[in-house]
Amino acid sequence: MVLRCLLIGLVSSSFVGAEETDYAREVLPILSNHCFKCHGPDVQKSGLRLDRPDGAFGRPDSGRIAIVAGNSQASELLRRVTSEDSHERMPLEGAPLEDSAVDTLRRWIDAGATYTDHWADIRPSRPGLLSIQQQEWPLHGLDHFVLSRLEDRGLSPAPEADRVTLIRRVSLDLTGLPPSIEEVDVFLADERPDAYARVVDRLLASPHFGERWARWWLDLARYGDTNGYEDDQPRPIWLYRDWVIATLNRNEPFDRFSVRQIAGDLVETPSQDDLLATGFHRNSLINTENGSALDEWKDYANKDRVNTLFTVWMGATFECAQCHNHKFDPITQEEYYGVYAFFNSTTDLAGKRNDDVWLTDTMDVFFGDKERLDRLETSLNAMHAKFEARARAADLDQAFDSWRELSRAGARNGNFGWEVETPLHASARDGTTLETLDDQSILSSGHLPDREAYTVRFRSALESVTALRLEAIIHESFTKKSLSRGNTGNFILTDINIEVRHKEDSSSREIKLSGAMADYSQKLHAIALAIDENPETGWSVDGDTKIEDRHAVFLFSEPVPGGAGTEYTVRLDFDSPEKKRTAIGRFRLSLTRHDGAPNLTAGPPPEVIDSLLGNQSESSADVERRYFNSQTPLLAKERKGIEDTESELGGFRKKFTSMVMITHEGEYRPTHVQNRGDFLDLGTEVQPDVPACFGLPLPDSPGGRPTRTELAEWLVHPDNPRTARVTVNRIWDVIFGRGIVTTSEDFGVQGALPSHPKLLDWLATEFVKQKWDFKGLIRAIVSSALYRQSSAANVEKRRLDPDNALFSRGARYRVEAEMLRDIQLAASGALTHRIGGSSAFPPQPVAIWEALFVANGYKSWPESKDSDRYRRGLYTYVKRTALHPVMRNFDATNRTSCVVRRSRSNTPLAALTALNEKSSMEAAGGLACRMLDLPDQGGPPARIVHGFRLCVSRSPRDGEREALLKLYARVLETYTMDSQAATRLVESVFQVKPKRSWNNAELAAWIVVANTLLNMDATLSRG
Amino acid sequence: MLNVNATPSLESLRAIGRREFFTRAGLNLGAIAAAGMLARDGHSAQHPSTAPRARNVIFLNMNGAPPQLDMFDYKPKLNELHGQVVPPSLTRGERFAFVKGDARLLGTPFKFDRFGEAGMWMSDVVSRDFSRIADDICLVKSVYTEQFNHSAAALLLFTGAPRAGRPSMGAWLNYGLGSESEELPGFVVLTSGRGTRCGVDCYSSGFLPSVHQGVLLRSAGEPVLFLNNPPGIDRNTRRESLKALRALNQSEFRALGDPEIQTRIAQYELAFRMQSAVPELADITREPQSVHELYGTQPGARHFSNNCLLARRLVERGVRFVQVNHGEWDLHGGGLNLKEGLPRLCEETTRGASALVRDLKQRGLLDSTLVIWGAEFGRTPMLQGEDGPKVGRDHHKTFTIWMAGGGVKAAFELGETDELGYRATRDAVHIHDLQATVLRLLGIDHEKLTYRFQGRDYRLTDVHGEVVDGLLA
Repeated sequence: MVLRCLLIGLVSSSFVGAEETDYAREVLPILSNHCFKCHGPDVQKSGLRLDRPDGAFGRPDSGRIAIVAGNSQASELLRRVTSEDSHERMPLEGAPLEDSAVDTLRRWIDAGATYTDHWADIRPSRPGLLSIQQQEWPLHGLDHFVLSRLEDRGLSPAPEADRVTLIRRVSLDLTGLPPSIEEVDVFLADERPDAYARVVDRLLASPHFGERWARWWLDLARYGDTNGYEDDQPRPIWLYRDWVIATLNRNEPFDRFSVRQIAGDLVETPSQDDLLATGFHRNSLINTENGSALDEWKDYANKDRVNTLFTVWMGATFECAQCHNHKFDPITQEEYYGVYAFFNSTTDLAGKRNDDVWLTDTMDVFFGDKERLDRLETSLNAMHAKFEARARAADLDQAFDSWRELSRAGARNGNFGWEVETPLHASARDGTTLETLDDQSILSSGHLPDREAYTVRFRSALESVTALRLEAIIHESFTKKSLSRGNTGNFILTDINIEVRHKEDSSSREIKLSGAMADYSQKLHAIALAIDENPETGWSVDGDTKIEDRHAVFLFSEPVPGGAGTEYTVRLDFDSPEKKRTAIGRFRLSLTRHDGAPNLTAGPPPEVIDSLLGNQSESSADVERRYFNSQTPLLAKERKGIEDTESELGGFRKKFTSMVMITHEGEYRPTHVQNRGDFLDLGTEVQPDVPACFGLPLPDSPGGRPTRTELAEWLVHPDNPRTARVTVNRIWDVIFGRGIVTTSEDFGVQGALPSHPKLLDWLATEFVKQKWDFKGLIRAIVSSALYRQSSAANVEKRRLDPDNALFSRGARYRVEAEMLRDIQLAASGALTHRIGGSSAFPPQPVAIWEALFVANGYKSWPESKDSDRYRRGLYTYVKRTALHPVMRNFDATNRTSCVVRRSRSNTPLAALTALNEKSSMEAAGGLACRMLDLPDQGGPPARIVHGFRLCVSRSPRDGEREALLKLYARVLETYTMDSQAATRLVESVFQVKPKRSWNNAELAAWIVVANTLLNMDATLSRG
Repeated sequence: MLNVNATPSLESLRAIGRREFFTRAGLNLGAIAAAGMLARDGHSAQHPSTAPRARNVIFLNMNGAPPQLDMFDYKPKLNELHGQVVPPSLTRGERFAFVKGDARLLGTPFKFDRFGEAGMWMSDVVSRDFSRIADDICLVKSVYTEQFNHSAAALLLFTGAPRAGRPSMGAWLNYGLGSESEELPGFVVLTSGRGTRCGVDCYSSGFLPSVHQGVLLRSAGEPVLFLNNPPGIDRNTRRESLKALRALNQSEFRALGDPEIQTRIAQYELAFRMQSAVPELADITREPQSVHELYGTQPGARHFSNNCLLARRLVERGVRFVQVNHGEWDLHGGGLNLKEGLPRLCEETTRGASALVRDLKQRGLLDSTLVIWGAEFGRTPMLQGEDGPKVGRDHHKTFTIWMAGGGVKAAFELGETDELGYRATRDAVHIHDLQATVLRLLGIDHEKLTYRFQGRDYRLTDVHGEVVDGLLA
C-alpha cells in the first residue's frame, strides 16, 4: 500500500506547479479511472456521458446536471462523489475518490470546466527549452528538460560515467555488441574533445546497428519463422527480417520505412524492397490444423493486423473496440471496422494448404538474385539440348535396337525379369491400415495421418539381386481415383531404406543404393531426391492431374547375394514438410537379378508394352524411344545433369521466396461491423476510414476508395498527434529501460502520463523536423549529458528516485535474451559477423521440438554447424510454439502478437540457463582459450584481467581479481587431482578441438573461470 | 566508491527497490504471495477476495479429447438410433472439423453401469478404476466450448482465449497467489503420450513475468532444462564458482548500489538449491512399494502413472499448479479408433488418475487440492468415417469433465445433455465458467485477478465467466 501511494504521489507531483487545472493531464485521468466505465464512450448509464462537454453539461435521465460550469456547488458530480450515502456515492463500486482528486475536480469546475482533448491526441507543439541553474551541464537541448525537473526536486544529475562504462553502454545500445578491447583502448587514448562523438559516429555507421534495432522492431512486427498454432509449419519470411536490417542501416526516414511496410505493394511499380517490406503484416499467425475454418482464421489475422498497426504507430489499444465501443478512448466499434476494411481486400491467405482454393492466389514472391535464376534456367535449357543431341547419336540407335529386342520378350512374358514379392508383414508408423491384395500389392485405408512411413518385409530366394522396383498403383477408393488418399491424390516419397538379412546373418544390413530411376517425375521432385541425404525432399509424380500407375527402380550399388530364406525389409517414408498426407495409397515391390542395364527398366508403361507387343500404330516407335531414353544408362549423365540443375533451381527458388501482401486490382471485399466481434454475426457495412478522435482526416485518395497507402500516409502525416511521440518514446524506452510515457504501448486515456511532457513533445517535433531521421534521433539521445550519467547511486538517491523516473542517473538493466547471447559469443571470440540470411539453429536440448504434437517442417532441431552455430541471437530460428528455451528463459517473446515491452525477469531458471546451457558453455570454452592464448609471462592474473575485460570491458577491481584467482587455484587443484573430470569438461565444451593443446586440467580450470565471468551481473547487464 | 552498506539487510533492500526486488524475484518465497500483487506500474493483482477452498490444482489434461459418450455420458437413445442420420435440427448452422451434417449416429460399443452413492454412470472402459473414486468426484456433463480445433480449444481451456499469447491458468494462479515452494517452480508441467497441441502456449506465462511460466519437468534427461552442471563440473566445483560469483556481484553492488544485483545473487543461490531439490523430487523410486502398486507406476518410463505420483509429490512440496498432459485422445477412427484406442488410452491413464485422488485423500491433501480431469472438447454422437471395427468420432463442443477435492462437491453430478448427448440441456458450463470456478475455489474473484498489458486489463476469463455455484461444496 505504501508503494502505491508513493507511486501516485510521484505521478501527481509531476504537475505540481501547474497554475491552472489542466483537463487533459489532471482531470481526465480521474474521470477515466473512476467514471467512464459507466458514463463514457461505450456505456452511458442514466443517460450520462462524462467524456464530452455536451454530455456532462446536458440533462441526464435524473434531470440533475452533472457539471455546471463555474459552479461546483451546483454540480451533481461533486455532490455524488462526496456523498456519505453509499447508495449515492460515486463510483458505486470501488473506493471513494481521494480528497486530492475531489479537489482537482472542484477547481476545474469552478474555473469553467474546460474540456480539451486527451493530451496525446493534440498535435505536439515545440516547447521552448526550460530554464535551469546548472548551465554548464547540458550537452544537448534535451538535457534542459530533465535537469529542470531534477532541480525542481532538489536533485542533481549523476556525474558522467567513466569512459569504459560509456563505450560499453553506447556500443550495446547502438549495435547490441560489446566493444572489443582494442576499441576500448583507442577510446581511452583518444584525447580529442570529440572522441565520444567519433565513437557514436562509428557505431551508427556499423552494419550491426541495423541488427540491434531490427531486434526491437521485429518484436513489434511479431516476426517468426513458423506459422503458429498446432501445425506451426515453417514460413519463408526471413527476407523481411533482412529488409528491416538493411533499411535501418541505410537510415531510411522513419515515415518511409513505415509506409513501405504498410503499403509497399501499392506503389505504381513496386520494387523488390517495396514488396519485401509488406512482410510486416504477413507475420500474422496462420492456422493450418486440419478441419479448421479458414474464414475464421483469416478474420483473426486481419484483426491482428489492425491491432498491431494501432499499437505500433498510434500507441492505441485499438483492439478494445473490436467487440464494442472503446470503454475509455473515444473510438467506436464502427471505426474499428473502418480500419479493418483497409485490410479486408488484401489477397492474403489465412491458411495455405493443398486443398485450399486460395492457394492459386499464392503470395509468395521470389526475391533472390534474378540473374542467377536466369543462369540456372539457361543452363537447364542447355542440359535439355545436350540430352536431345546425345539421344540422337548412332550408338544410341544401336542400343535402342538391342533393348527393343530384349524388351519384346519381356513384354510377352509380362514381367521384364521382375519377381513380384509377397509381403510377409506390412506396417505403418502412424496408424494407416495396410492390407495385401491378391496381386501382392499393398492397399492403405483407415486412419489418414499427415505423415507416414511404411515398413514391408518379404522373403525372396532370388540370387544376385541388383535392384528393387516400387510400383505405385491407382485405386478406386482414393481421392481422384489416383495414387494416394490425400486430398490431391499425389504422393511424395521422401526416403527409402532397404535392408537385407541373409539366412545365416544374425542381423540385417542396409543395402546401399547407387541410383534410382522412375518412369515419371514431377518437376523439381526427381526420383533422385528420394535417395538423397535430405529427408524432406522426395519423388513425386503430379498425381493430382496425371492419374496413372507409376514406378521407380532403385539400383543396388553391388548385387546382393540373396538365395533361399533371404529376408528384405523396405521402409518408405512420406515425411514431406510442405505437403501433408502424401503417402502412396497402393504399392507393390519386386526384385530383379538383371544387370543388363537396359533391361533394368522398371517395366515400361502400358503404351510402351502395347507398342512392344505390336498393338500400336506406327508412331509407337517414338513412344518406345522416349521411354528408352528415360531409362538407358547411356544417357544417365545427361539425365543427371538435368535433375541436378532442376533440384538446384528448385532449392534456390524456394530459399529466396518470401511472403508479401498484395491487393489485387479491382478486388474489393465489403466490410461489416461484427457484432460482439463475431465474424459470423455481421452488422452494417462500413467504408475504409480512420477514427475521428485523432483530429486528422484521411488524405485524399486519387483512386476514389482509400487504400492502405492513404492509411499509411495518415499515420506518418506531420499533423498526426501520435506517431512521432509514440516512436521517440519507444526508442527512449529501449535506451533508458523506461519510457517518458512508461506505458509505451498505450498513449490512451488509461495509459500513463508522460513524466516529462515537454521533453516528449520536443523530441517528437524535432524528429518530424529532422525528416524522421532515425539515426539522428538516436545520436541526439546518446549525445546528451543525461545519457552519459553514471548509473551508480547511493541509498539516499535511490530513495528519492527509486525507479529513475526523473533520469537522475544512468540506466542500468539486464540485457535482453539476444544481446546476452551476443555478449557471450563476442567474449568467446566465436561470434559470426555475417549479416542476414536464413535463420540459425544454435544448440538446443533435444526433446523440445520432439515433444510437440506436430513438428512439421523439421522432425528435430537441425543444429547448425560451423559459423552458423555462432550467429547473433537475432537470427535464432523462432518456432512460435516452441521458442528456444534460452530465449524463453530470458524473456524473449514467442512473436505470436505484437509486443512493445518485454518483461525483464530475474529467475533461477535464467541462472541455470546461463550457467549450464550448451552455447553458454561453448562460449566459456572460447573465452578460456582466449585467456590461455596470452603470453605466459603475465601468469593467471593477466589472464584474468584479459577475460574480465572481454566480458565487461573494464579491468577487475582488486577484490574481484583475488576472488577469481582463488577460484582458479582451487579448481585447478580439483582438476589436477581428477583428470577424468577435466577431460569430460573439455570434451563436452569444444565442438572442434582447440588449435593449441593445453594441459586439460589447466584448460578445464579456465573454463570454469570463464563460465563464472560470463555469469557476472556486470556481464549480463548494460549499465 | 559509493557509500552504501556492504551487504544490505532485507529491510534496506525493501526500502530501495522492493517493487523491483519482488516482481523480478524468481521462485517465490511464501511472502512473495504478496509480490504477485505488486505487478509493474502499480497495476496489481487483487488480494484473494473469498476464503480459499483449495491451495493447489492438478489438471489432468487428456489432450486430443476423450469421447464422453463412451465413458460417462450414457445415452441409451443413441444406441437405439445407431446408424441413423443425425436429426438436422441438431446440426443446423453448426460447424464441424470433419463430419458433415448428414453424419450417422454412433451408439457406444461399451457397457454402462452405475456406481457410488450418486449412482454415477460409467462405462466398463473406465469403471474398473473410476468406480473407486465415484464418491470423491464431481462429474460435470455439460461443459461446452465454441472452439472445435485442437490448438484453439486447448488455448481457450488454459488461457481463456483461442489465440496464442495469453498466460495460462497456472501462470495466473502463481501471479495471483505466489508459490509456496522455495526450491521449486510454482507451475510445473508433466507430459506423457504425445505432446500438447499448442506447444508451450498451453503453459506459457504470456505477458505475465516469465517467472510464472510453466516449467516442464521432463521424464528423460535433465528433469528441468539446464538443471545439471555440465559434464566435468561437480557440485563442489559449482559451489566454488558460485562463491566467486557472489563476491564479484557483491563488488558490483558496492560500486553501483543497484538492488537488482542482490536479486541476482539470490537467484543464483536458489538455482543451486534447485539443483538438489528437483532431482530429489523427481526420484519416485524411494516411494514405498504400496504406492507404486496403487498408481501402477513404471519407474524410468515416460508414463502417466509416474506423472500422477509426481503431481502428488509436487503439491506436497507447495507447487501451486501441476498440469499433467496425456495424449493422444483424438479418436477419429482408423488407426486411432474407439474400439481399440479407447481401451488402450484408459488402460494407460485411469489407474494413475484414480490412485492420485485416493492417495491425496489418504494423506489429507484432497481437501486443499483441486484435481481436474478434462480436455479441450469432447467427441460427437455421430460417427466419423465408416462404421465397423475402426470407427471413431469427430470433435464436439459439448463434453464431460470431472473434478475432485478442493472444495468441490463429492459424489455429485452436474448438468445434463439431450437424449443424444448433443447439447447441454441443464446447467451448461462454459470454459470461462469453469475457469471462474477454479479461481474461486482458490479464493480469487476471476474479475479481479487482472494484469494490465499494452493498455488493457486482461484476465483469465477474458470478459466472460460466471462461478458455477452448483459445484461448490
